[in-house]
Amino acid sequence: MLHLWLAGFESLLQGRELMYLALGMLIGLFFGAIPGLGGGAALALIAPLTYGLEPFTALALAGGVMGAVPMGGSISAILLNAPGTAPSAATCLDGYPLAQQGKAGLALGAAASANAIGGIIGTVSVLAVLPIAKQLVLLFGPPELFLLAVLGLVIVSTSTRGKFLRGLMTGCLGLLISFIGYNEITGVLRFTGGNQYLWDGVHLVPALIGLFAVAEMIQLSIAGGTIAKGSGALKITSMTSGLMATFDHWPTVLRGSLIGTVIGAIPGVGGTVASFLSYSLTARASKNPESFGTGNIEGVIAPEAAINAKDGSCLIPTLAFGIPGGIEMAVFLGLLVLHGLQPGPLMLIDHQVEIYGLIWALTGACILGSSVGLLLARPLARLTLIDAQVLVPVVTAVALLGSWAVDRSIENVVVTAVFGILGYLMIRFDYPRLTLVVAMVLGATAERNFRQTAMMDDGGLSIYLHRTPSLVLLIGIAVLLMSPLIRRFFSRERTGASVPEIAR
Amino acid sequence: MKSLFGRPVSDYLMSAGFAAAAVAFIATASSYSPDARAFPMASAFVLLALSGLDLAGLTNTAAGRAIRGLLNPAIKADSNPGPVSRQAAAVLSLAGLVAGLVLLGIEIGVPLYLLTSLRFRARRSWISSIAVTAGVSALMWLLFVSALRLDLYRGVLFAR
Repeated sequence: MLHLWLAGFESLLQGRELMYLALGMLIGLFFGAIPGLGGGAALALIAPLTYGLEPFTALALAGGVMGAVPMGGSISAILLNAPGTAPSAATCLDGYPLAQQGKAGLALGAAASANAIGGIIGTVSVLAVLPIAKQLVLLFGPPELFLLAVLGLVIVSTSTRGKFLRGLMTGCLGLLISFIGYNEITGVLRFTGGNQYLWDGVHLVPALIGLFAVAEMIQLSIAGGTIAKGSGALKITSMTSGLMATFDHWPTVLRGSLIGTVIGAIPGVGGTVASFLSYSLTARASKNPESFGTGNIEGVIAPEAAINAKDGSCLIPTLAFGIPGGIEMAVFLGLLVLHGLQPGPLMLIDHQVEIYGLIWALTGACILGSSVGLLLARPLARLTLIDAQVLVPVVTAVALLGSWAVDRSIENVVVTAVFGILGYLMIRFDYPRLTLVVAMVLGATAERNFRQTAMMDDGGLSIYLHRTPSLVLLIGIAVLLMSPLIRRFFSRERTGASVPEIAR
Repeated sequence: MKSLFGRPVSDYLMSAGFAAAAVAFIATASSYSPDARAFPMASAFVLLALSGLDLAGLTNTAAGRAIRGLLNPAIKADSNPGPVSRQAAAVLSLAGLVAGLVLLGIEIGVPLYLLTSLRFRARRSWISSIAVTAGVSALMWLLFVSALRLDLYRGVLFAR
C-alpha cells in the first residue's frame, strides 16, 4: 500500500504536473473568490483545455482547482460577506463581523490554517479508507451496478432539501438526455433527429459548461450591479495571529475535520451541510454560544476545517461508485470520462496511482492555496467589485470558446448555449441541476448494466432478490423513496406541521 | 398575469415543459425496437408521471398543498426574475454570440461580441471597451493558438 502512496506522490513531483497543479490552484482561488462561479464552473471551464493533456496532468490541474476553491470562497465570505462558494456561507456568519471589526486578517489567517489542517486530516482519512473501499467494490456485478446508479440518483434527489420530486424529475430528464445517440447494445441510433453530431450523444463537458458557467452568467447579467455590494471591509491586518488561533482551538479543528470527512463520504450531501453542521455543533459545544454570529474566531475555524476535509472524502463515492458528492464532483466526473477514466469499482483497481496522485494534488493545493490565498486576498476580493456587465461577456466568451475546444466542434457551442438557457430556467424556477448532471453521467452505465443483468437472468428480474448486495441496495432505494413520507409522519407527530406555501 | 388554480400560469411553464419533453421522447421511442425503447420509454413515462405530480403540487388546491407538503416542501416560485427586457437581452446576447461564432468564426465573433457588449450593454467608453476586448482576445489567442496549437474555427461565411 505504501508503495502506491509513494508512486502517486512521485508522479505528482514531475515538473509539468507541479506547474499544472500551481496553475489549477490559481484558477481555483480566482473562481472560488467570485460568488456564483465556484469549483463547478471552474472545472467545467478548464475541462476542455485539458483535452490534449495526459490524464494524470489533467488530474493534477483539477486537484489544484478543487483544493484551492475553498480558500478563494473564504476570502470573499470574510471580506465582503459574499460567499464565493455555498459552503463558505457558514464562514460569513463570524468572518464578516470580524472583518467589520477590523480583524479581517485574523479571520483570513484562521481560515487559511484551518483549511490546510482540515485538508490534511481529510487526506489521511481517505488514504485509510480507500483500501477497504476497494475490497467492497469487488462484490459488485451488473445487478449491483445498475441498482447503484439508481441509488445514486435517489440519494442525490433526497439530498435536494425539500425538492425530492423535482430532483427525481430532473434526474429522469438527465437519463433521457443520456440515451441520445448510438446505443452500443442494440446498435440503434436514438433521439438524434438525423443530426450526425448527436451520434455520440450529448457531449457532457459542453453541457456542463452551459448548465453551470453560462447559466450563472445569464443570472448575473439579469441581476446586474456587482457581485459584492460593498467594499468597506477590504482592510487586512494581523494574519499571523489568525494562523496561530487555529492551533489554540485544536478541538474545533479536529471536530470540523471529522464532520467534513464523514459528510463528504455520503453521496449527494455536499460541503454546505458539512460546514453548517460543523458551525452549529461548535457553537453548541462552546462556553459562549451567544458570541457566535458576532465575530467569534471559532465560527470561522469550524466551517473552514470541515469544508476542506470534505473535499478528500468526497472522492470516495465519486471514484468508487461514480456517485458525486456535489456539483463540483459531478463536473469532475465529466472530466474523468473525458480522459477515458470511467469512475466506478474498476477505477479503484486499474488507476490506483492516478487516484493517490489526485489525493496528493488535492492536499498540496489545499496547503499551497491557503498560503497563496493570503497573499492574493486583496486583489481577489476586488474581482467581486467588477461590474457584472463587464464580467459576464468575458466569462461567457471564454466558456463558449472552451466548449468549442473540447473536440473543435462548433456544435458544442450550440449545446452549451442550450444547456445554459436550460440551467438558467432551472435556477429561476427552482429545479435542482445536480440530479440532471448525475443522471447524464450515470444513464448509459445504468442501461448497460440493466440489460446485462436481464441477460444473466434470461430476461427475468428475480436475480436482484437472490444476491445479497443487490438486495441490500434495493432495500436502501425503497427506504430512501419512502423517506419523505417517513419524515413527514415524524414531523407531524412532533409539531403538527402545516403544509408550506410556495415562497415568493 | 392570468392565473390557474390560484397560481400564475407562468409558475406551471417549466413543469409543463418537462411533461412535453417526456411526451416527445415517448413519441420518438415508440418507433424503435422493443429492446432499444424499453429503458428510455420507462424513464419517459416516469418523468411524465412526476411532471403531472409536480403540476398538481403547484396548484393552490387541497390536493396540491398535500403533494407539495410531502414531496416539494421547500420549492420557491419564480419570485424575482428581473425585468423582461433584461432577461431578453441576456438570452439574445448569448444567442448573438453563438450566431457570431457559427457565422463569422472565433477570430471575428469573439472580439465583436466583447466590443459590442462592453460598449453598448455595459456602456463603457470606446477606449476601455477596445482595451478590454484587445486584452481578452490576445489572451485567448495565446492560450488556444499559441499554447494549445489549435486552428480556430473560421465560421460558415469564411470557411475555406
